Amino acid sequence: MIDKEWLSLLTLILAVIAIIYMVTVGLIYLILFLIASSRIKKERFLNQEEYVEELTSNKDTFPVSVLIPAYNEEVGIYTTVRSMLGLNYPQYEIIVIDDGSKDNTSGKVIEEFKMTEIDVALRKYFNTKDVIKAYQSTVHPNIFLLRKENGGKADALNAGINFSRYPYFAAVDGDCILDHDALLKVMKPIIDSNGLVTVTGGTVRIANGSTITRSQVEKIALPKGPIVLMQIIEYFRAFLIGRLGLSRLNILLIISGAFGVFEKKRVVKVGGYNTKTVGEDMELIVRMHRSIKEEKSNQRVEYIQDPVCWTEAPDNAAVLRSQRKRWQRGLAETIWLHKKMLFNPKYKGIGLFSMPYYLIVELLSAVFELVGYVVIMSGLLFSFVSLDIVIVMFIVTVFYGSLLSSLAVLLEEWTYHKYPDTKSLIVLFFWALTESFWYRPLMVWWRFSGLIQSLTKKADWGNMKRKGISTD
Amino acid sequence: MVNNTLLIVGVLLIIQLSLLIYLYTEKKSIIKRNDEANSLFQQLFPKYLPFLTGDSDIEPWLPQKSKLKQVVLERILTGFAHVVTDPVGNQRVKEVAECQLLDCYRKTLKTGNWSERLNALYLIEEFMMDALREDIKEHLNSVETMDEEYRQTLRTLASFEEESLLDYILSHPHMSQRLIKEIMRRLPLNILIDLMGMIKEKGEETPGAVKYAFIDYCGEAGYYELLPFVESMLGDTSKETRIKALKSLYHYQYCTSPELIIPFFTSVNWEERLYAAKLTGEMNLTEFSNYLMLLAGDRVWWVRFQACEAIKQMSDGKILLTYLTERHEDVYAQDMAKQSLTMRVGGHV
Repeated sequence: MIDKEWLSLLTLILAVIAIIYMVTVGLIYLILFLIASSRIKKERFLNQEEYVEELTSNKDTFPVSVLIPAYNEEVGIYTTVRSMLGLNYPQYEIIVIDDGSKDNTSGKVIEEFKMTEIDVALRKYFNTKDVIKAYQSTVHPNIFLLRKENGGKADALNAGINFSRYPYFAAVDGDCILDHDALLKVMKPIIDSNGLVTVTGGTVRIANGSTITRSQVEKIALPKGPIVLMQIIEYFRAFLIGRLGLSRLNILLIISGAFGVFEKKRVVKVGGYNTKTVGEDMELIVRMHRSIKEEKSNQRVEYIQDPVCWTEAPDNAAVLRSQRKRWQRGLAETIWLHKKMLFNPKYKGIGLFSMPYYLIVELLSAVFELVGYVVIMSGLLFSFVSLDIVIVMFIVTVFYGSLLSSLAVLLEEWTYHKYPDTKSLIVLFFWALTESFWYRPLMVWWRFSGLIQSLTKKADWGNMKRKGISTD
Repeated sequence: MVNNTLLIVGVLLIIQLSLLIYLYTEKKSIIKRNDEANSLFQQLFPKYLPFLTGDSDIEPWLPQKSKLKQVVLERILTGFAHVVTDPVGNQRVKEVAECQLLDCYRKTLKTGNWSERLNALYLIEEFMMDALREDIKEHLNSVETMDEEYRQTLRTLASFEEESLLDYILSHPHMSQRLIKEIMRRLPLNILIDLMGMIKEKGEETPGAVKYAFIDYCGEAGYYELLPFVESMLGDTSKETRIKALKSLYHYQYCTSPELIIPFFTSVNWEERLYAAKLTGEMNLTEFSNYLMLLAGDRVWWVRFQACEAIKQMSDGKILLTYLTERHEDVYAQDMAKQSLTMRVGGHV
């Protein structure tokens, strides 16, 4: 009897903690939404073409090296490089880094772009695995290929930085397609700020369902599978609320590995990408913030809501699970590596808000939410907790998931409004409402497993089998 | 408790439902407006073309609804302005825009939101509506944040060849070199000559950004009238000024007296050695090949790279680079020469 009372009390305490936690997180998201929406609303009707036109012919527009690390990307690499060739940008070079692929990635690039071998007097900002050979396209002299021994994505990017010649570089995943003006738009804040902005990141969108022909997005449409649909909503929320909100406060810690532009000088200064973590994109940004704060510099890391990078999302649960576990592991490793910054006033907003936010909200939310689900279920099964509390928790969960997802759909409509019909909006809205009932619990469980994995150090890479997102 | 819970459920439902209705109706009306504008544009553009080219004096009918009229006319004029090359066509665009859109832009500058004002400024520049010159000047004084709106206001004024901008840039030392150059690109030669006079007169008091931007821009524009000024800057005491002058000469691809470059081959500043090498390659000064051969073994990677690239541009470049690959005492210089021999120029510095 005493045991039952004690258990009931414990469950009640856990329930209250979970409720407080989720309400707090919901409020943080709401505040971020308000911060982000004011920017989106301000720029809602801006003529985007005119906005970047000055840069297209301006001789002061910084040249950019586009780095494309590729490992077993033979299906998508040609499409990606071809989409880069169509970029509206005055001066840039494209460097594909084949990180010891086991498939025909290099062969495909060499053949399609008619490449010949070149001698290279390579600089070594960073030590990387050996570069075996370098090639240059005979058709497009600004396309290069580096073939190197396998060392992981971070190592491939470091090799690309060693080879690159321009003061800024864009890191783009080998399975992505960039919009025509994406590089211009993402470079604009750097150029306008006279170098005060040291890193910018653009929005990544999911290409599944859209029609992409000859590396150009022709028609934007929704996919049919609910797993990809939910990821679309999730990306809107993550980018348009989370990243834009944090960016406006200059405390953004993540620039998507799929598409970001970096000031090379700063990256070299902090030692390049860390080859020992799976979350190398986030880890680099945290290190750059750290260096900026330690120098008392006023440089900024900015997220731009408009430049769009299209990527292929996992369309089945197994691959999605592997991806999310990997992300969780990368997040955990980065926070652990930079634990010194946590709650450290020396790092201002980063130490006092961002790092705790990523620890408590992004990393540990899986634990808190799991506790919430357990409480709800055990409360109902064994009557440890009153039905009222279960109902309140359920509503909080719905509030947390569905409303914010719906608001993200609103921001998407304000930012891009690219879906050509009202049906797409209703479909997105409907799925946003269902999130709390199936997608979120799945995510919670996978992220929880990822957290456990990061503690046990068991790696599960689960490489995704690409189908390719563009047709010829 | 149950009542409170029901209240929360109700509020959430109402918020979500309102959001959905708002999104649906807004999307529906945007789609309708776009379709209407597209259809009108398709109908009116062919009819408007003879009027804009001057083949007809009869201006076609425009829709009555002011917003729709503005959208369609802007699309017609922008479409035409992007392809027209003769002054008559540009003048016609300006006349039509000033006749039909002037009041609307004037009102937007005063009461529109940020993106509306900015869009208006872009189009005022594009259509060269200098009847709004005084309004833009007034607007410049009212812009509080140094953001894109501020920059575009200055660009628009500059495109009207507004002379008072010279005093403005000289009295605003916070302005970036880049923005000053954007203004200079829109100014005609006679105003730039006036600016040169002002820079000479002010001497050391000239804001650094203005001086550097001007020297840089001289080369970019390639005005021969400004070349002596740029060359005179090669002897300036400031390193930054000398580098800008070298860079400017590189853009000119010309220098009245190549001997002026010689001291820079042995400068203590690597940027000066780099630009000396670039300039030598660009002007194909074969008499300076020996300096380049020395710079191929420079301690700074960029200078070596540029020296080899410059050698490659010489008529006997391949022979010289082959010599370097075999004979240069520095192994890294040999590698660099090999790279220059195998790598094609393009997409690089």
